[in-house]
Amino acid sequence: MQNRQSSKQNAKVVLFVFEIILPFLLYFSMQNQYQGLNLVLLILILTSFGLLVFLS
Amino acid sequence: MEITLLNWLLALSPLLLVILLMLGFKWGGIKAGALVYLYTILLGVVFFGANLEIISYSIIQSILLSLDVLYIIWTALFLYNLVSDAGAIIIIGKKITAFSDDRVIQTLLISWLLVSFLQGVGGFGVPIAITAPILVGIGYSPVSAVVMAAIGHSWAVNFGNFASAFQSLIAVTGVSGNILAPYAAILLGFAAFPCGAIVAYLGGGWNGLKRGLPALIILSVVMGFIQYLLATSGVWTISATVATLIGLTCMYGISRLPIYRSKNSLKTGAPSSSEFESKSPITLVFAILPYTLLILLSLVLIVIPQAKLLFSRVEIVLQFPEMTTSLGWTIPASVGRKINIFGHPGAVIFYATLISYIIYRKKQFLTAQAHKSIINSVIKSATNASLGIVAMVGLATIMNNSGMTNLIAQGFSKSISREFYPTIAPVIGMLGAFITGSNNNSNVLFGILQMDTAELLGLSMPLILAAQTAGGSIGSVMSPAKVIVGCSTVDLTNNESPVLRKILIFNTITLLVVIILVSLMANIY
Repeated sequence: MQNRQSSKQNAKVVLFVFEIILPFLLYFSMQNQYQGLNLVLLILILTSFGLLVFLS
Repeated sequence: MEITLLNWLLALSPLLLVILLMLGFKWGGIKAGALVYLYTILLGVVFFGANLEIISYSIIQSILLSLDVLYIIWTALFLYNLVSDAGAIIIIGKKITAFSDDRVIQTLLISWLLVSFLQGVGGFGVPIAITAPILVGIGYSPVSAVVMAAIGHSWAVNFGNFASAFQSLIAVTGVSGNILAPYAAILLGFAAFPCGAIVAYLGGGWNGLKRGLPALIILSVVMGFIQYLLATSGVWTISATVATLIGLTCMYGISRLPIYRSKNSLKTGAPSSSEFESKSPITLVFAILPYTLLILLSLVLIVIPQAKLLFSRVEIVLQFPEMTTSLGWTIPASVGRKINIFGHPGAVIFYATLISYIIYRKKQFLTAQAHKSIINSVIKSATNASLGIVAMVGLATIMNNSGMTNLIAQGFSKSISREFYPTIAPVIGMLGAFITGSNNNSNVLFGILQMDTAELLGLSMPLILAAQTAGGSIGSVMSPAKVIVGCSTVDLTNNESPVLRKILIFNTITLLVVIILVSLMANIY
């Protein structure tokens, strides 16, 4: 049970780090006009956000 | 963008939905924030013509804004867990109860004066994050602690934190601070009394309020007058800080008055000094060391320009292009929120925490393994609170960038008559701060709109602008984002609903005082 809690906590931390870093990647991708990558990053940001909410 | 009742209601709907979910359905900040965030994105795309570029840049801007707040939350949690692990919170509680046996004096000291002083030197959620755990330490429930800490300093937000919100108002409107300062200082000086009175009531009921009345009157007059004097002398950047500092000094004398030294001192279930039992070897000087360092370091950054310059050299700055929605709402090109890595209030808390940790370890107030438990506790409480902040700030940014926030304010200003507008001006300021969590942002969003409306209706422009920033000052502590910050430090994450409800109810009293004053002054000026 404690291991499960700890894994959940670790997953949340990793996802939150993604949630912080991905928008910066999106910014640089938008500045360089990588259209396809922009969409992928936007989807990744929203997905990791959704997963974080689910885990909380 | 043309205003119709339908699009005005649609623009307002994210706010109403947050309030409904958190207050009506008692959802936590994360769940409510996340759902409304996604709803706002859809609303922005479908009804307000926001394209993928606007949504993407809004998400990036919101992460920058969130980091600005999270920097403080994370470091404040480190500070709290450090003092808690070292047993310092118990010692502080013990000494505060020893300073005065009177519960009202203790309550006013922490949740009116100290919290307002911290707003002066820190701001951005620091006051609640620091004082709420101390209030829990002297026996208040976590809900009461956050509510009291939030309400107690709402009068000091505008001129606190180096008067950054007031500076923003000057910057966006181009109106001289010397013209605006007297009006804003009068409104917020008067607001100090209800803030203290509410805190006294929450701390000790009607008896507490009655008992605290002499202290409340003396301190409100002193602090209001000092703030007015300094603000109108052009030094508004430190007016709230100095006013509260003098208030704190006066409190020592007030607590020695016979009325507060009688044996009938009001005690309402708080642990008295003798009830605190601590085996911690820490003394008061070391117990308050992190807070002393925090205040000293903050003051160094205020009064020594070279120090400020030195610590402001490394910043995260992102440029955002001009964007236009398909409905014609234009967001001008801007530099997003600058994150000043080493001079940020969060960084100052971190320095104070780090120095204190080193000293505590040397003095053996902490074990060799203490850092592990501190880090674990911080991670545990920080992740959920951070997610709530990201969601709330995200929805505020989308609302702003798709023109919803402006539409709400325009709807108010265009449909209200000249006679009634002075009562609505503070409400618009409050709404802006409620949405964005910041008096600063509210002034940036609505400063021009309020100025234009005042001119159009033939009202006193400085008075309406002062009403805007006074409303923003009061509204910023009511915002879900700030409530989440406060709750995260007292183990109330995901249980913000009762806190938000109480803050909304009681802070409305302070807002009403400001509304009445603005209405009266509008008849004079």
